[in-house]
Amino acid sequence: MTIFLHQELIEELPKLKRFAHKLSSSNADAEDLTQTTIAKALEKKELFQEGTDLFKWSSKIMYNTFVSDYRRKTKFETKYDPEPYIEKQSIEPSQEDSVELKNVDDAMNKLSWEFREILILICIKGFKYKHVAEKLDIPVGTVRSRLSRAREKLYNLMN
Amino acid sequence: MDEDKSENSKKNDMSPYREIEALMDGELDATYAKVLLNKISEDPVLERHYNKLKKQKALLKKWWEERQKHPE
Repeated sequence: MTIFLHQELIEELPKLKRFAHKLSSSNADAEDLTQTTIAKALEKKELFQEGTDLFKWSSKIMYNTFVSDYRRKTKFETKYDPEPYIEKQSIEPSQEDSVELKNVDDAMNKLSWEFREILILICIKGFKYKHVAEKLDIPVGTVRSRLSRAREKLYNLMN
Repeated sequence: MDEDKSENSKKNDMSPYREIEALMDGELDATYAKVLLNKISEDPVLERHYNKLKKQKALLKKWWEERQKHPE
């Protein structure tokens, strides 16, 4: 049964791949979805009734997998959260640390109020661009460009 | 002035450097963030920029913490 089902699934593979591409936003996602569907179909082989439409059955598995993944992603992964990686960023031990912090302090004091404000709001307090745009009553594009120039200026002042 | 110029420069907004900034600020969706992280890992120039921003952000947070602990 497994051997037959496996063989039949291979025959359905082009159709399954096409269906996966319709559901997914990238080739990699479509490939993952196809692989997961095949694995699940083989796991659930007992539930397949011989003589019925294998593509219909396996594409239903694919669709359900896609929907559960999508729900999980929108619930937990809507935005990439960089904070754990930033926290991991090692800062030198205390003596050099205090020199670097003094450097940041001097540089921040030399920055214009607008640059300092945007760095504090976004890089330190973690506000979203949209929120800052509303708060400062400026377009999101201006938030991006001001932030970018503030970062560059801060970097130049510190180096 | 300068900002208006940047504002109109949509092309500039799409540069990988701006995308890396958006990544650092949690502005990208998880799927695109993964794609960009892969791109960064394959390009030493982008990787250097990413690490530079990451370090700067960590330092800023540390500086702010210290300021809150020892306000002048």
